[in-house]
Amino acid sequence: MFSSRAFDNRLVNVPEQSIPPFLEEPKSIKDSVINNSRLDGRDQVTPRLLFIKTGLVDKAHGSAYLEQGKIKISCAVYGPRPVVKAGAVISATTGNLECEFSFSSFSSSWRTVKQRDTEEKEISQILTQALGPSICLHMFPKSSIDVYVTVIESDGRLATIAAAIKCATIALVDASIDMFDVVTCVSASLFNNSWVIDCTQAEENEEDSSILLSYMVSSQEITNVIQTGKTSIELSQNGLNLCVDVGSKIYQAMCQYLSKSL
Amino acid sequence: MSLTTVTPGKRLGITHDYSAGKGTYVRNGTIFATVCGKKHIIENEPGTLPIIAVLGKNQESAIPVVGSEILGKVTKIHAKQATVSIMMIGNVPCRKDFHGIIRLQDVRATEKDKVKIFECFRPGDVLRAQIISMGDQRSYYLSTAKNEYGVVFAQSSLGNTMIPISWNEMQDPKTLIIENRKCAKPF
Repeated sequence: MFSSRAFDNRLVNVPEQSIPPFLEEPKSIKDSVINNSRLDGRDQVTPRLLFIKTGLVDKAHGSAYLEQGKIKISCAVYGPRPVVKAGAVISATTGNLECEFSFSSFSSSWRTVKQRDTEEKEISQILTQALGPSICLHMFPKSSIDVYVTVIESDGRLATIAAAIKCATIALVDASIDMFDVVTCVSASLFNNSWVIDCTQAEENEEDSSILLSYMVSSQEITNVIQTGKTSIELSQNGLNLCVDVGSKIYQAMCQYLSKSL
Repeated sequence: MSLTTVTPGKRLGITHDYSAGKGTYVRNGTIFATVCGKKHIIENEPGTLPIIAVLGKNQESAIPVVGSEILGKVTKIHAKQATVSIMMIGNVPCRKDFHGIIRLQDVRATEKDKVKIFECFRPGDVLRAQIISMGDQRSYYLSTAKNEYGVVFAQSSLGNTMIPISWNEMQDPKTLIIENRKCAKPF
């Protein structure tokens, strides 16, 4: 057949026959979530199971390791210690909370580039906002509390941030730093008209809207809330209420671990 | 004395029944825990409320505050000031890297204009002082302007531990060499 016409090296020679790469249409995750049959068999309002361990980093004053499904996060807390960071604003009346959040380069399904990554800075800011109100900073004048969070594996952007906040709180408690309350954090995504708690990356890819809520349970105060996407006011309220409910359950689990770890 | 384990934010009691001790804070008349630890109820003198305290697993580390008495080690001296590394605040050891400065005018209460830092402190001396101010960006300001403040332990230039012989002199018991120090009054 080829002999009948000249073979041209400059052209891409395609096979004579071609078949589509997918034999069947992949199942929509969105549909399965709405039908309450999530890939990992969870309920819509059930978060992934937590694994918590404290005291992994010997050098740090407090540390914690947290697993939530595929998410794996470690956190180290140093302080209260004198401010070492150059150019930091030092107050003689209150302490300073410094959070540093970082993805390891293999933590996501895509490779994270270390330079010019504004995402880590943004998440560090969220961590500072979420944890700041829970710490008795007035008890540590002229000192800083440094929180370093490293994501070993992530699964879902907001779920990872939520896990990071929980992990950092546990590390702060492990460091015996005086705190007003334990902060819990819950992420939820909206699919059509129903909120789904603690979504994986595959689920988050198809979400319509999302909420991240950091909540202090015993004082009933919200420290940080981020909502993205369009919803109605009623739906947002439903989502916040759901996050608060689930957060209270997670708080109990965290407290149970903390009391046992003592 | 009951020993239940509590976590931060746990409600412990009301200020009507108890007074708040270590590891607790008060909000709206209610006492809450601030650290994870065991709840202790310490009976106070009769007529006063018992104290609720939460003691964590770590020994709490002290943060320097104005007015507290410290033990420190002189790390370097300068014509105008001596730099001190703070080791103890009251009776509690503190984390390292807290620095203090004794300025020339804070060494003693009298004859401030005749003070020479070199005749009062040497690097390596252990001294007792008081924090008088939160100080500048990096250090706390200390003062030894009281009889009971000053050098408590010093070695001579030959490395022998010296004994104080007056408020401003110390003697090496082996070589009998006398060196100048601003000594703390022994208790």
